[in-house]
Amino acid sequence: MNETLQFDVSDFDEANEFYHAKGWTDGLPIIPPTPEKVARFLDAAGLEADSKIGYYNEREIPVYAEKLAINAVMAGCLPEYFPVVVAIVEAMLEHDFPTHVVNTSTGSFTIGFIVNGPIRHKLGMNFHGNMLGPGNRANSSIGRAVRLIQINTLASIAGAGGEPHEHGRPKLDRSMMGQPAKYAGYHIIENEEAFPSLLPVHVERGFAPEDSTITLMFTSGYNWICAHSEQTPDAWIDTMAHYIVGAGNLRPSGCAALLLPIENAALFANAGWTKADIREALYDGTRRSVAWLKREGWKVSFQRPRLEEVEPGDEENFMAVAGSASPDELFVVPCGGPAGSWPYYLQGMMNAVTRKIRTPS
Amino acid sequence: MIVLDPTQPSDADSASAGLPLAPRLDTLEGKSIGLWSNQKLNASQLLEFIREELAKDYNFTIVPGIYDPGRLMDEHEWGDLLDCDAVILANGDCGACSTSGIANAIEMEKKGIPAVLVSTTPFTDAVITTTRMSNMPAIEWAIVDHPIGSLDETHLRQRAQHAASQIPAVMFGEDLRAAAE
Repeated sequence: MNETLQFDVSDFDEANEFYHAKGWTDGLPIIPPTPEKVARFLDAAGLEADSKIGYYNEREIPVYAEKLAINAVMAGCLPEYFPVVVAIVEAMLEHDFPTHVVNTSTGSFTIGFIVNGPIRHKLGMNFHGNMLGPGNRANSSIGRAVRLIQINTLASIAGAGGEPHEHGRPKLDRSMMGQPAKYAGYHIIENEEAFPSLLPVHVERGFAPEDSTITLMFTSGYNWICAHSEQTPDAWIDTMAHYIVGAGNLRPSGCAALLLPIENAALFANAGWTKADIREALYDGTRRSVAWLKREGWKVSFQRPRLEEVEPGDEENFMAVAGSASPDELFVVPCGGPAGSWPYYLQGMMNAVTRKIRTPS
Repeated sequence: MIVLDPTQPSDADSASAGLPLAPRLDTLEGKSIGLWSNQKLNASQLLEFIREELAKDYNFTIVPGIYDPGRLMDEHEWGDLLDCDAVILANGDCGACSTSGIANAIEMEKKGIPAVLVSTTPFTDAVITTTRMSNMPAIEWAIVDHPIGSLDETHLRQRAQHAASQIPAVMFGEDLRAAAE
């Protein structure tokens, strides 16, 4: 790898002005990344500065551990958070994860990552109230580190439409609107302890309960749904299915995440439902016939069946139009505060990837 | 206080010279032309209209193909690419499909196959940057007005005519940008 450039600044304020002027921030103040701090982060993950994490094919950018550590320091992480950041970036650079879409699309997408396993407790991550923020340092700064890595290491400079370059760097993040969740992503921490019968996401995906993992997806945002009056599992599923379809982001492919309030998770656990039961029921509840799609005027995957005539067979041709490509690609995550029935539904796009978080023994 | 640079240059930044383009064609007559769709809205229809336009001047055969709208394709995903004398890729009217489109076109050029992406004007700077990051700054592409995905047939045919007016020049190695200036 090329030697990392060093700069001499007088103090915290000058460092911040320098980084802002270079276009190396998300618009918020950063912690100056000194060599000493960066070295502590690398040690915490058992990595060398030139440890290669992956390769960003579409921009031909090699990704090394030192650059990730620099951005993690800037984001306000503690050294022990760094292995989580590394695992997320490793997942981003896997073939099956559509990182280039997240980094470049006009769709203003952002990442979501589900954290499972003992590391949630080790880092003091918050899976209770305000899990998505603000408030918890690990939740917020890990997600922010990934955004700074997208900006700096993966060259996703925002702001298309004005001058083609920002601080001398080309604007390759073509998001039309952006969104607040692009600052720190959707940091989703599963409350695995509340309902042991609802197996954690990582265990359902083949990892051991004692493994710590991240499951990475990308999303345009969340649908906020009221489920206070649904007091049986079937009623809850029926409401959710209707609102998910009604949100209009209809796709027969990809993944999705359901952030399940504790009150609502209790409904299912007490009735003996498993997560697989919830997934299957929602999958079935969001199936619609092609004839229905045409008559009701919906788009599916941005296509426009509403413009087409209902044809023979359309009444019998059903498809899952919301949620996930299959029931297995819907992640059900109990989380959030002790009161309130406000499920969040995050429609993902394309594939999700789960990676084990590696920490030095 | 010493602080560190958080950015990482692309491999092209340390490369000595731009990669060469594939050998250019001298005609489309009798050639096998790939029509590679990324399956976004109107992409396949645009390719068909481009084919109709080019067929007014040349007799050629078609090799259909698809590519991912959001990433660089793997070797085994290319289909019948090696049967093509040249390829047209469509379409690029968003950020991911325009930049991954040119990245895939560059991969085709590296294999010795002239490749022409059809992309819309708002993404010209992003496409240029991608050609530099991939170390093939000499590659050309067909630029048409935005958008593509939402057009009706009449306007889509206009885009196809505009693209078709540029595509042979790119395949023949004529300098479109210099000509425009």
